[in-house]
Amino acid sequence: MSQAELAAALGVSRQTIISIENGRYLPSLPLAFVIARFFDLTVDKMFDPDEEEAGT
Amino acid sequence: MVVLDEGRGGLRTSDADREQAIDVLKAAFVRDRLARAEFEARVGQALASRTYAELAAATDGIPGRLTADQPPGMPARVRKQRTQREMSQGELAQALGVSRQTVISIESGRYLPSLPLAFAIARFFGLTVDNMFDPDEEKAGAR
Amino acid sequence: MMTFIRPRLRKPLLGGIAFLGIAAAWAIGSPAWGLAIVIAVVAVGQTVAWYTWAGADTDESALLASRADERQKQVGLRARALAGTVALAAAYTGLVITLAVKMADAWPFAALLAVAGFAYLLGLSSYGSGEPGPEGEVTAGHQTRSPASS
Repeated sequence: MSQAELAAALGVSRQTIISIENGRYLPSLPLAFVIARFFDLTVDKMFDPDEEEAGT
Repeated sequence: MVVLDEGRGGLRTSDADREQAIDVLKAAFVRDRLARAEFEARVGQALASRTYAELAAATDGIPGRLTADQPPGMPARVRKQRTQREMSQGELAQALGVSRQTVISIESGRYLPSLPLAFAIARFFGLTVDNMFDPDEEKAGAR
Repeated sequence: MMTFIRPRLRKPLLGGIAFLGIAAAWAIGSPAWGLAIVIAVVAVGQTVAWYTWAGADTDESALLASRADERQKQVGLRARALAGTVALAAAYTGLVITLAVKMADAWPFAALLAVAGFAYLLGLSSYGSGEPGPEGEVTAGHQTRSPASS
């Protein structure tokens, strides 16, 4: 899935997906839930600040 | 049905209307009321909507009272966890490393905590973020 | 009113109207009213240019086209905050210089400083937590809309 497709699916811009993947932007709580749900993960697993490999 | 009365069907939608519709779709998706494929399709439909009729079609069947803005029960849940431990707002604030006004704002629903703060709050109460802040109230606390 | 104009056109149109306002004021106030026509032409050109620019796939264009997502709104908010700070600093600098040198009227700078400073205080009270109130009081809960509108 391309960044543009993911962005369109989540209703955000492509730049925001890139920023999240680069760790330059932390999504809001509601957006985090949508992203996690989209990948069939919990917010906890996806965005845990303690884990080095957290996130997409 | 979200937002719209029939009479405006042909009028053009604003950016805010599309956003609101997408918020409703997100909320439904997060609550497992929409499958992923359908969610994607409807978001695309909403984004492409130019009239209210098109927007209504995108959110057809989704209850309008759902919103992704804030989990409706979340402020009360934070307050409940705090009072169960007989903590004052000031004490919770100190434990979390934020101001008392911020705890007040969260508990009154004026402020949605950032992701890091949400993690801190959940961890402090020994819960997961999903447990603490799940938009679906029925699920929260049941995991 | 704004909801009837397509999002991509809103800010460009507002910019064009602003330029036309300048053109009208110039036509009224200046003997060289021909320049007002030039400004009016610039207004049209600016509207077209901004509308075109709003189609690009960048943060700035998303803000210009009123289709910014949450992160882009935050970018816009921070840029506007910077603009506000700079404007306050510029107004203060202008005030001090004109007072010292007496080369021009100081009152416009004083007025800008007062208005901008007041707006800042208004923002603090509007967007802040408000009255803390006594412990455990359930204040009316509603999600405050962020000022970061696109």
